[in-house]
Amino acid sequence: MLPLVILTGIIISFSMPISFFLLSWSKEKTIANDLCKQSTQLLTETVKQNPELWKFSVEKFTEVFTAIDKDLISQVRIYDAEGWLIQSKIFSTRSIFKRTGRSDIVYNNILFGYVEVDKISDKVLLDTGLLFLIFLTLGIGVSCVLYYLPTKNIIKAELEINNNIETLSYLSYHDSLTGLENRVSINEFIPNLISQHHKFAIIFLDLDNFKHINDSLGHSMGDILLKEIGKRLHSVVRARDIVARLGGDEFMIILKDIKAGEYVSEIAQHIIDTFKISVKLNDYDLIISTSIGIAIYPDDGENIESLMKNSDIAMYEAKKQGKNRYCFFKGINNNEIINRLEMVSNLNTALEKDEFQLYFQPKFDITTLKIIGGEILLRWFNPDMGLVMPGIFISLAEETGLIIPIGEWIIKNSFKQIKYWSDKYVLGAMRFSINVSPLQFLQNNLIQFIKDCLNETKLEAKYIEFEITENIALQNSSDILSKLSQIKELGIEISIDDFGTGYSSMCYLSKYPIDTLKIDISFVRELTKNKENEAIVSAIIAMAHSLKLKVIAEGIETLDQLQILREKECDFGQGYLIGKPMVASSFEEKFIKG
Amino acid sequence: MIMKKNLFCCIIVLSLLITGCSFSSKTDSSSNTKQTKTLPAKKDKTLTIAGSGSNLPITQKLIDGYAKKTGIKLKMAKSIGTEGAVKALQANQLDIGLISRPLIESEKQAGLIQKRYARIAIVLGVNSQVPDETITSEDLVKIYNGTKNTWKNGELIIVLSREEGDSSTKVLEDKIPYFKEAFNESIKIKRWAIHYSDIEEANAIANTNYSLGITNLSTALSLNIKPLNINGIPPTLDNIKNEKYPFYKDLYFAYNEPFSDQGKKFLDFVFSPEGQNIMSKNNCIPMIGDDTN
Repeated sequence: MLPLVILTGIIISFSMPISFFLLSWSKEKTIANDLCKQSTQLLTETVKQNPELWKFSVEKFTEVFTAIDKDLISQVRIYDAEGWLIQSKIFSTRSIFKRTGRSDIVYNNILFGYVEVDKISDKVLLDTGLLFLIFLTLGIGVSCVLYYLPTKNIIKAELEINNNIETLSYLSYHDSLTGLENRVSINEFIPNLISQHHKFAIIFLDLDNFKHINDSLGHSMGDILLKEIGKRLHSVVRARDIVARLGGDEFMIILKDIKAGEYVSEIAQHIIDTFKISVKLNDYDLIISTSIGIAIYPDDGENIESLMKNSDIAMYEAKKQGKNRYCFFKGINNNEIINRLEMVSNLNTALEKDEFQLYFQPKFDITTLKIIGGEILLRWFNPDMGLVMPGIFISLAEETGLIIPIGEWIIKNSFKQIKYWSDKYVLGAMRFSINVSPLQFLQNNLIQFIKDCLNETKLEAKYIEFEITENIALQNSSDILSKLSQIKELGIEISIDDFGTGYSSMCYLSKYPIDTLKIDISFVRELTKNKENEAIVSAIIAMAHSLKLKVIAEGIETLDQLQILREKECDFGQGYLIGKPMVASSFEEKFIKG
Repeated sequence: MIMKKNLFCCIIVLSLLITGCSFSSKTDSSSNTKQTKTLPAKKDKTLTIAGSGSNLPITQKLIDGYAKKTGIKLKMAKSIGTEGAVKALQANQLDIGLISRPLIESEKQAGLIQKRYARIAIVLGVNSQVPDETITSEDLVKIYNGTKNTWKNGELIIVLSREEGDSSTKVLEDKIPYFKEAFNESIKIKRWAIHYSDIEEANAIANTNYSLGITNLSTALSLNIKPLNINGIPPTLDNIKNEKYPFYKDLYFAYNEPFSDQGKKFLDFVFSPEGQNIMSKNNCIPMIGDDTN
């Protein structure tokens, strides 16, 4: 910019004076030549009168010198044809700048001599100098304007750029959604901490089932939830600690200068407790949990890669243990990691390869032991991994979102199977329960899908029961109520699965059109060993009955358990005591055919 | 970097232009020194006579008389002035120079020979329309000063001046007090039109109504120019001879040695009674054999 401005200034300063000088210089030559011609005319007349002796006509030369404008001329010289100087007259010796003109003395086409006139051209130099000063001033002025005006704009633009750079810098180190630090920031921060050799903890958080919320309620809702979580995480740590969002539903907290693992445990528990407070999103009161993995520097890694990886492994351990908890890194089980990756890969293709199979576990009347239907369970037979139990792959399916197509496959094939049986046998009051995952339940097209399946299979809805988890019921929203009501209108009953392990809110039990409560297997297993559990079971049964709800207990494996449940007036039972989950043909053979 | 280069170029260009011009003019000035070179000698064998316009009328009469007597027609060029004649002689381009002043010492030392052959009256000649017959020295100074500008009939006086250094004018400058100052001032401020030869001056007076100029008696009378009496003294040959009329000048022949036979023969004729008679008849006082060399 500056060289261009200076060049412009120079062009302005020099172009006009130089142009003026060149034009004036040319004009001076013309004037000098004209002055010569005046002299030549006089001398030509002399030559005409006296061709042999003209060069001695001193009087004529005097006339020539007198006639000439002495103010313009510094010297006149008269030469003969051979170039000899005949006469000269100096009028001025002070001029420093002269322009010489020449004109030939010609008579009868014969060259007799010539006249040279030195025209005083000092004024041209003076004028050029003055013009140069004027244009130099103008050039400097223009240059200043050209320089400072754009410079002003450049400064303004630079300010904007700096602001943008600051913004970009902020954005490059912060998560745009939550305003928390981001992965880039963490990647710089952890090595710095490592270089200080101070003990610190990396807390890696992954929200449980966040994908379900994002997919069902939309990303905007998910974003609101993530923002709220960011705020909560910030509230539980010290000001000097770092809270970051790594992406998606993954967060990371770095606790600096920790002295004991207890402090880290306290923070982790504090985080889990914080998550228990529901988040209100429009009509939804969402409760979301998180699985936390913790790695400590330098115990669990001496560089960022190992610390990040190990906190991730610890997080998956927390998931594996049932989510909603924290785990410290306890070393690497490579097989487990490899299996998990392999399982995710296989799960992606399981539906296409028709590797799923429905299993049926009989449900019976506790009093009469008469079969009242069954729970439809899923089994995955992978050629490489063999039989994979739902407890292992369902959580993966939920994390990857594959639970939706898998769930739809279950509903559709269950309907087909039951239709087959209903067409073949008299099923009477039998009902078959299908587990519906929270994510699937939140799908907008769930009701239409069920209707389509019923229409397609021509199955009567009275044979079907949907089991939902307490988590779904706890999503206190009109949408849940609406869906449950529509399902009921179709003739499908609704059962709350694993009741007693969650919040077991009385509120939703009275609000929603629920038919059955299924007492969680953990209560039944401990029924004969723990009086408290017995009391809980008694309370659940009493409460359900008071709400006109039926009660079913799962996991009945012994006669003692059966006896106690019978005494507690539990309505139905399910467990290995009567029948394990089995393939359709076996179930048909054992419980339908007969 | 670019800026510096451009600035340097501009300065160089301007400097070259300025210095180029200065050098050019210096070269021109230095050419004056070529003046000292001499020109080749005259090759033509015909006798050449040239010089001051004051000499021309009477000399032409003498040439005519010489031709009448000898049948030899001499060639006389038009006026080149006394200075031109001297230079032409020095350059061997002239056989006889006609000069209206005596040679100066340096010219004599250069080898030039002079022969005075006539004395002529310098007159204040006026156009025939002018009613005045006489003029005083004071009035003449006033006229040239510009303080007197009308004739007695009220007409505007038109002065036709000679150039500075004219020999006729110089006669008046030497004899009339304050005339030199008045004349020089008039030349300086270009008060009057200037003529650069006797014949031009005389023709101009003859053709310009109410004009006044300096000429000689012979030329004036030949062109119907009225010579004024100065301070009441008419410019007659007698008044010159008896020194009453002090305004006159002598005419000279000048030549180089060896002088040609043709030239000698012509000069012999001039100084012969026939030549003397011609001069007397044409309002000149012959100056026989009176040379100052």
